[in-house]
Amino acid sequence: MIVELCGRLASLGVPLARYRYAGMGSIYFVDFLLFHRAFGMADMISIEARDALIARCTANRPLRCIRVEHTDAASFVPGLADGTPTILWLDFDGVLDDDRLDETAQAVATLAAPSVIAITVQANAEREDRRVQSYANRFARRNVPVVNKPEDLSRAKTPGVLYEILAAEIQEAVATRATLEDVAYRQLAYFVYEDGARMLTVVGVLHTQGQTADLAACDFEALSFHRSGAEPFVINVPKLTYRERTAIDRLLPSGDFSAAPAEVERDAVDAYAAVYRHLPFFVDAVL
Amino acid sequence: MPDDILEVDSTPAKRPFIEVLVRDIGLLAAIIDLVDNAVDGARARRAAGETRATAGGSEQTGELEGYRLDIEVSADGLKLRDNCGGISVDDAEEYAFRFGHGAVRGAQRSIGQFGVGMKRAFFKLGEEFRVTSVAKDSRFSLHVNVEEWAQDDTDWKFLLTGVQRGVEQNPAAVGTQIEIAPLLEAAKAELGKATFPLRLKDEIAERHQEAVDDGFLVSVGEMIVPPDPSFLLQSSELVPARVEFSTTPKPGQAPVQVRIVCGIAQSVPGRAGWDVLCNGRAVLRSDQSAVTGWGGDGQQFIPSYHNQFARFRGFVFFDSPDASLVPWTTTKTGLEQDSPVWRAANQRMVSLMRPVIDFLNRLDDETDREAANSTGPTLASLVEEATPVSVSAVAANPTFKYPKGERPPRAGRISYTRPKADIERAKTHLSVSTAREVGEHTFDYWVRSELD
Repeated sequence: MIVELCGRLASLGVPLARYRYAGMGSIYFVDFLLFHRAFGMADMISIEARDALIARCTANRPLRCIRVEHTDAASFVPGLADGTPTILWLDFDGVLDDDRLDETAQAVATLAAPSVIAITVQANAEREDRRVQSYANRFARRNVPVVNKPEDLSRAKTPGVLYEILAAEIQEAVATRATLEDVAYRQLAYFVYEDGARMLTVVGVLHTQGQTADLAACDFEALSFHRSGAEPFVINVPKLTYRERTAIDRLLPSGDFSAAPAEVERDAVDAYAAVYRHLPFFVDAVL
Repeated sequence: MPDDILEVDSTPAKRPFIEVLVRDIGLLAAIIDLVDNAVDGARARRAAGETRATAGGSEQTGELEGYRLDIEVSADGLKLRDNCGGISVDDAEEYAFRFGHGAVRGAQRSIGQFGVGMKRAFFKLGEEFRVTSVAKDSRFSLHVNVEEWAQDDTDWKFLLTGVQRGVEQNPAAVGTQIEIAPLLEAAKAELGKATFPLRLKDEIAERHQEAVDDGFLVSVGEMIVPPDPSFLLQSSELVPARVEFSTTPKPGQAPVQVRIVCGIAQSVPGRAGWDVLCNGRAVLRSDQSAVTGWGGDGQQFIPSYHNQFARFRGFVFFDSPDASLVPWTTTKTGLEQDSPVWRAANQRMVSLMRPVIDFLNRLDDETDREAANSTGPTLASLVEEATPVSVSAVAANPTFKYPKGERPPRAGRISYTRPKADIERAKTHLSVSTAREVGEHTFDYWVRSELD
């Protein structure tokens, strides 16, 4: 989905192949392969802070153009201030806190326009008795909305609370930078999904005022998962068999779902239809 | 006028006005305001194309070479004499002696802005003041007895004497002389101290080092404020960062230029940190606080200042023809932290200093690991080989560059105390000679036994 959003940025005049992709590929580099296949970009950097993993990361690079840097986001982000349009995915596998917000703000402060910033953090609810204190500790250096009740950090509400903090940080960083430079920001997506843990990802584009009209031409609104505000696109992947998937696929796009396998619940059919183009196909194989 | 309307006279009374004016400023800062005027004058003359021969007769290349200000200070009074263009009669009429005037006419980068500095200094220091000014084609004198002037709240005029306008003046005589004497009691006690001239000289160095480094000569009695230009270390592998921005805060207003330079220099803890200069005047020197982005409260992005960062130097220059647009307080000794232009600069300062901090951390790690004995160029040797380059000569470069090489595993330090007898037994048992080795061996043993 993020690849598809980025593809539309070609309207800004910079071919996607000339963007730099920077992410946290770990040892699998799934996102690197998707971006390289889609756009052919050859300037790709994966950062890895864990000493114990660095050798494996380097050994597992699936493409020659991927450079693995042994560093963390805080050290890496300031070095991106060289004017190169960049797609930066800070795929934090931990929780959102003051330090992650600092890194996000610095990404906003340093990346060239146009650039894409994607931020991923955990959005799990914590144990009820720990929620309020943990929230206060994590955002001790910031004026975040006051939370007094554990129920305000429930499983249902946590993504929204974190989104508001993250979005406010980005907006403030953009506004601050805009005092000295021609820069603006537009949110492209806000996803909530399960990936072992509950996660949220916010994607946006830094651009110049002069690119505002070109952004309109990108027609992000035509994408069902485009989100410009606080209402997330919840990625809900139903568990379907190969037979069920292919049966529903034959009805897509925009077919009559009454012909879908009757034994699959309608909610699952709808959920699948919302994401089917972007789902990988996993099959078990005995080699 | 209808009965239900009443005109209220808001003409200020002089005495409380004077008292309010001087309340927020110290004696040194008040004198620095007068130094500002001389520096402004020199810069304006220079911007207008004037060159001045130095005392030795040769023309110099420093931007302010040939301009000077001589200050004499004692319990009897304060005298300042400069050759920085003088105040023209027109300027005296229109702003110099008016309260709350706008910016100095024609100045490209003036320090005076609020229209209070000179008058505030006079009222802060003296019972009487005298000004004699010779400009290019005009001259005047002014003598004010503050007590007498304060008597009549309706008459706010100052009387200029010896006025010549449109008359070419002797170039050698061009300049301003100010004499504030006798001093008020509080000022007399302070200015009469034997240490005051030294403090004044240091304060001028603190605030106006850039002008002095540009060749502006300031004397306080027999003492000269010495040039002390700032340098950053540079080589093909160690490259300081320099970024520049220009912004127009509001349409139609003057632009503000922002220049940020940072890198490393000699290790001097007292000099490390950020210098912030507004139109050439330092509002912060060697700042190591959260104001300039140094961490605190557990912040990781930039740590709190520590002496392992004693090589860090950063400089932020704000310049604008409209001095009210640069981020300083009305006393020009502090930073206006809520200013949008400051906040934007600060955001960038943080990202510019992070690579320098990373480099200095690696340098420190290298020292700890005694890697200087290893093969290949060490970071310390790169620092040794780098040469000083003046801050103004640093070329545009979006981020501090240094050879990253292989990052060693991050190390932490553990320090604790145990009975000496036990440490000695452990030394013998391990066949090592230092307590540090005992610590390393015992820690490694525990890791192997319990963690691996």
